[in-house]
Amino acid sequence: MFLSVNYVTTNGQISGRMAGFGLWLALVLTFINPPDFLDLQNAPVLLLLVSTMYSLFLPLGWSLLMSAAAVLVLNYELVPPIKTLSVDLRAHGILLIAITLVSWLLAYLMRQQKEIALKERAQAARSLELMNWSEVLREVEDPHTLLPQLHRLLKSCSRTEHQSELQSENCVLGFSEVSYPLGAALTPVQLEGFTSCLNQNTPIGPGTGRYESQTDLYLPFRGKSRAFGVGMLLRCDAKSDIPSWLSHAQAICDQMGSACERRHNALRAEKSKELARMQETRSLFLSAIAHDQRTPLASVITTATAILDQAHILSPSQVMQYAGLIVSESSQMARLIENTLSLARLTGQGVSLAIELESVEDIVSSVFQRLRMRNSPHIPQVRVEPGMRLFACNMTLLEQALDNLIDNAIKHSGVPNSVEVHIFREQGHLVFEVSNHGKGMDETTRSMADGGRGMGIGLKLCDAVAVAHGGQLKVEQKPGGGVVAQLMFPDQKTLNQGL
Amino acid sequence: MAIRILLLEDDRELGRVLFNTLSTEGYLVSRAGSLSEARAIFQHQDAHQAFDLLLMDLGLPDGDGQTLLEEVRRSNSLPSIVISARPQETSKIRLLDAGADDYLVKPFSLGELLARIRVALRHKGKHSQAAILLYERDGLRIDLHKRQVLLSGHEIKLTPTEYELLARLVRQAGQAVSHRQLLTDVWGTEFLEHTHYTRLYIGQLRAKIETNPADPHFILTETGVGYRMLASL
Repeated sequence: MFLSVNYVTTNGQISGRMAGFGLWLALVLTFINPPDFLDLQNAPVLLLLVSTMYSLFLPLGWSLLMSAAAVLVLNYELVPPIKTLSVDLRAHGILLIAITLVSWLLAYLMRQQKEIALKERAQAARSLELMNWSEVLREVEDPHTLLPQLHRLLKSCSRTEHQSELQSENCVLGFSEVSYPLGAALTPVQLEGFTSCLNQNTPIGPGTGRYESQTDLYLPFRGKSRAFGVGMLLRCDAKSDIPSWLSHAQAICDQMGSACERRHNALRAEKSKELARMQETRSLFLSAIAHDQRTPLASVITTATAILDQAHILSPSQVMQYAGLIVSESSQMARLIENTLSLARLTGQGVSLAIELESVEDIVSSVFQRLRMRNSPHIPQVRVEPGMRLFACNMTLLEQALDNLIDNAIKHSGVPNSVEVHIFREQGHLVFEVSNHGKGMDETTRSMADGGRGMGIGLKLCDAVAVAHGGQLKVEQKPGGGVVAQLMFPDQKTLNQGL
Repeated sequence: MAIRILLLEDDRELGRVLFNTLSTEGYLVSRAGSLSEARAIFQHQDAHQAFDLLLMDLGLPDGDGQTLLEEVRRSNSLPSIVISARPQETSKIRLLDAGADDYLVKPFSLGELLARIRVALRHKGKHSQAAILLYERDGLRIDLHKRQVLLSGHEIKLTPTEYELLARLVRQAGQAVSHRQLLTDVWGTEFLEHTHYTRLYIGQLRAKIETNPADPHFILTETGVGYRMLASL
């Protein structure tokens, strides 16, 4: 799709010329029917004043001709001998020649002034346009979305002057992956121009000093390191005054280039951050496998080989004891694998949890079932505050987190059988609290370092589960020894429907 | 007559351990390592030597065990227990809804497996006999015929919905019943979306029959799947 624009003389210019002619006509008519006060002393002054005024509106040639004509009329109507064109050179000749020359000079100066003013105004407009454009670019997230606007800007900047000279133009913008207008068809030569402009990061075409004979103008969107796209002005008139707007068009394209570079860098920074995060998680998993898994695995191997190698001297009760150890160690490994997998899922990209309304009692009871299943040495005391509402969560994850907390509390309890589980509501939070008495955890354990076997990943998982549900994990030392771990979730306004 | 079990497991080591354990327990075990092998065994089995139980792994070399499960369910009422290495709840629910009687997630203890097999076989027996209407365990006595629930000799008052829910669990005591099955059988299919009903009513039931509802003794929670009423003793 190509856009074509035909240029016509604007309405403003037509009315300006009408005003110029009107003024001249009024002057001539005044000379033909002079009022009483008009004589040879003030008529030339009037002529100079009016000619200055109409040369503001008329092209220079017209102004010169019309001023000469006005002097002739003055001579015919007011300079003696009246109603003749003959002039007494000594009496009035110098006056008439001087008036003609001064009016021409004024017309020329007025024209010059007007052109300077026009140029300045155009310059100011361009600066403003550049400022606005940079503002727009700064606010947009993806500069690619501004292609239509850039298209409009490039078209308009190439026609601010010499409108009558440019009959039509075509403008195509392109990045390597997207073009505007969509589906713009380019000839092989144009494609080649596009590619070289993109690769060489310099403008190509008439007015640029490179491939001047080309009819198409290629402006790169220059960033610091490379071009990010190309704006093409197709079939530019080589005779038109391209350099007057070329630098402006290039400045607009360069701003686009800078914006693209900023975006490019931001994306790269984001990617590196993501990579760093993944690397961190990977190291954690690796250490979980290397350290946490190897320890139970080692004891399984040792115990199993003991049974194999010493079968003849082991008593049946010893074999039973060893088998029990193998079971408990391999269960520990199974739990670690489960934790690692859940954590990997939670820290992966685009996590979406299956959330359902669950009862707090179900969550707690399933953890207790797990404890019984693996013959936990201690089943904690549990208190659930009455009147608990259903809680929207992923039960598998929550159960796993609570299981980890209880397991930790049992393992690190100084006083045997002192673990308590308490579920209650407090200050707009649903709290799953697990506490024990005795020695407690040291600072390193609390900061989720590898304080004990598998605890690094276990606590990390608890934290990730809490965060995934909009809550948090708090682990604190109790004043008299022991540790309180709390999984806190913002209380949900869940309706217990259907009752 | 010995009870015949078809063991469908492609892992050689686990298959061997299961085969040995089940044989030691007195079951007659046939082994298959793939879906096609299992289908061949089914086709060539004698009518008077039909299998009593199917114990199968899900991930098999020539396909998903679920397809076989559906075929078996269509042709006869062979009880089936699924062993799965997939801990995702959705697959467990799908299996139960597809007709598996129970499931076990790897790793599991052999004691647990044997208990599940006993329950599945007991239920198979009940299909051919008159339905057993009495549940008794640790002081809880549920008489479905009289619609009566006694705890330590005292009658427990239940609402009609609570009773229906409890009765549904009792009829399949020892096996997991999915939320979906409970909703369909107690409330009706139009209530399938109301998954919170089961949670709320089980909570009420537990409050009436359990000493500590947060650490229940009769109605256990199957995470993400549903509930399991412990088998009658």
